[in-house]
Amino acid sequence: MQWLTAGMFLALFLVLVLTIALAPEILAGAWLGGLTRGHWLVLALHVLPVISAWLYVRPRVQDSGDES
Amino acid sequence: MNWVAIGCFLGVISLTLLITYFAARRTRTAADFYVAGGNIGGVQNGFAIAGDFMSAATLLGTTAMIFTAGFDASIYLVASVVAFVFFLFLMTDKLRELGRYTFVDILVTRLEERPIRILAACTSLISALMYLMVQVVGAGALIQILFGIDYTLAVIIVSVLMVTYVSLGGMLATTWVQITKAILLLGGITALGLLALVHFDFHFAAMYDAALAKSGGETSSLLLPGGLGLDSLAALSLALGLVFGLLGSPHLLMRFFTVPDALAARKSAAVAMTAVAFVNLVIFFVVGVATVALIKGNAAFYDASGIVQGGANMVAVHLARIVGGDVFYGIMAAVAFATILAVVAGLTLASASAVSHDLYAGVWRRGEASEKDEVRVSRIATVVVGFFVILLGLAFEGQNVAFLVSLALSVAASTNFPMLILTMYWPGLTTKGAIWGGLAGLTSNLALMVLGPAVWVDVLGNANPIFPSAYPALYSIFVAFAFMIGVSKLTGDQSRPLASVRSS
Repeated sequence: MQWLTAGMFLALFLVLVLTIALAPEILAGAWLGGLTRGHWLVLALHVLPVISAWLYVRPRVQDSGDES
Repeated sequence: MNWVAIGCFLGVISLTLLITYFAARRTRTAADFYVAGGNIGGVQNGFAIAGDFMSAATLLGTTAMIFTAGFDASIYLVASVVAFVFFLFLMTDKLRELGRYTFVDILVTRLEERPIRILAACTSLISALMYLMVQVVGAGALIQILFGIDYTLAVIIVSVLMVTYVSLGGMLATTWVQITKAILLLGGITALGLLALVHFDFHFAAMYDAALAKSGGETSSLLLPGGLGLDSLAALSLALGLVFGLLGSPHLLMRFFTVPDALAARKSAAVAMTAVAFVNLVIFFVVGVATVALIKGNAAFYDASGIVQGGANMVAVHLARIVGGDVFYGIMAAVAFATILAVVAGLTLASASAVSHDLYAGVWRRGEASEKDEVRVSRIATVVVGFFVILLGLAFEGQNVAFLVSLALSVAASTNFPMLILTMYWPGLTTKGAIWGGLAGLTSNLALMVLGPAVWVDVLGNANPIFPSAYPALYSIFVAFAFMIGVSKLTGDQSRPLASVRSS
């Protein structure tokens, strides 16, 4: 599961990187809320890893009762 | 002369020296010196990692990159978050369980100690010293501009402070300097973002429209990627070099040894990732865009030759003056200074540890050095590193050393990272495989960098590069992994299983 999560975010990052190089117009297209697809992808690649991180850490904090 | 800036500058120095004074009184053993006794809390260590990671390049360099290249700066920003994903999900537990003082301790749980310590200590030193030199050269120029201090004096001030923090206070002082810096940076960047939005009456769209109007409308690089002019291989190479380089950076790896258990190590990575992601988003969506909207084409911030005053790296500080006046400008200048101090302290400690723990205690004394001797050698190494950094800082004054940042990271990505991840996850890795792969990764990386445009053309003055790309990491990482796996397969199973070196 850990490898899958890390691999998924690396793959998304490489999609962003390769799209910047190969098809930048796709990222420049307007999407929701006045932001472009590229902006949404960057936002997702910052917010989703943080949410995943805390979901991964939280149960273990509760399990151990530790608050270091 | 900005007296607020000078006051904040002196305030930061006083605060960090006070921290060092108290830390020095609690630093007695080798464990205290290298890893603060392993007693730093998860949240504190998370802020310290964020402070260790976010250099002046984050605050000033990334903002400058958005100002000049627009959307493509997102590669640098997202790479840092992805690196923390790898730290958290794949590396923190094993780092904390297997490591002691340096990441090389993990390698030698399975591989032969002497050759591995020599190679890994050398690659650690090379990457840390390169990174350190870039920070100090950048710091000298920055302090010269911000405070009107002579470049030579600025380099000496930064070097003397970093030697003082590390040699007297060890990891404890370094940790609290980094925590202080992380809090200052988080507060500073939040205030800068809010003041920029206040300037546009919190009309986010109005700020974007103003920025687009200054940078080409619908074809602005803020919307349309391509500002860095990367082809697909160069983009991949840059991206992988950044992610794997951060994962192989000795000063970041070392921070995971300072917490009491694996849970605290995971929590450290989550806190650091959250702090870094927050700073990245504020820079990408607000601060960077505001610099384009308010500084691009504004004659008040350009010199006679049409270049932004102080260079593009100063756009974040210029923005602070526009939206917050001289007082806020002074505060942000001090934040930038604190940012530099925290990073150089972490890098210096990593360099000194490679010398004292890996080379002196592990190789020369074959693990029989006393703790007192080891700490003494580490303090001497810190002073020597500081002396070298002053010399390098003065020698490279005014030179374009930006390429050394990617070189430092790509060295770590091509040597430290493959050795570490294969040691953790591939039972077939042998000592010969690790040595051949590490050497192949290091030499191919250095050779391709020298033959590429960053050195062959920009530094050596040749007309055309022999190797076409300025980003060699993709190739050297492949070479390193190929040699490690190939040679290990050929030399058979000589490695030991992973075994914890920690009793806790």
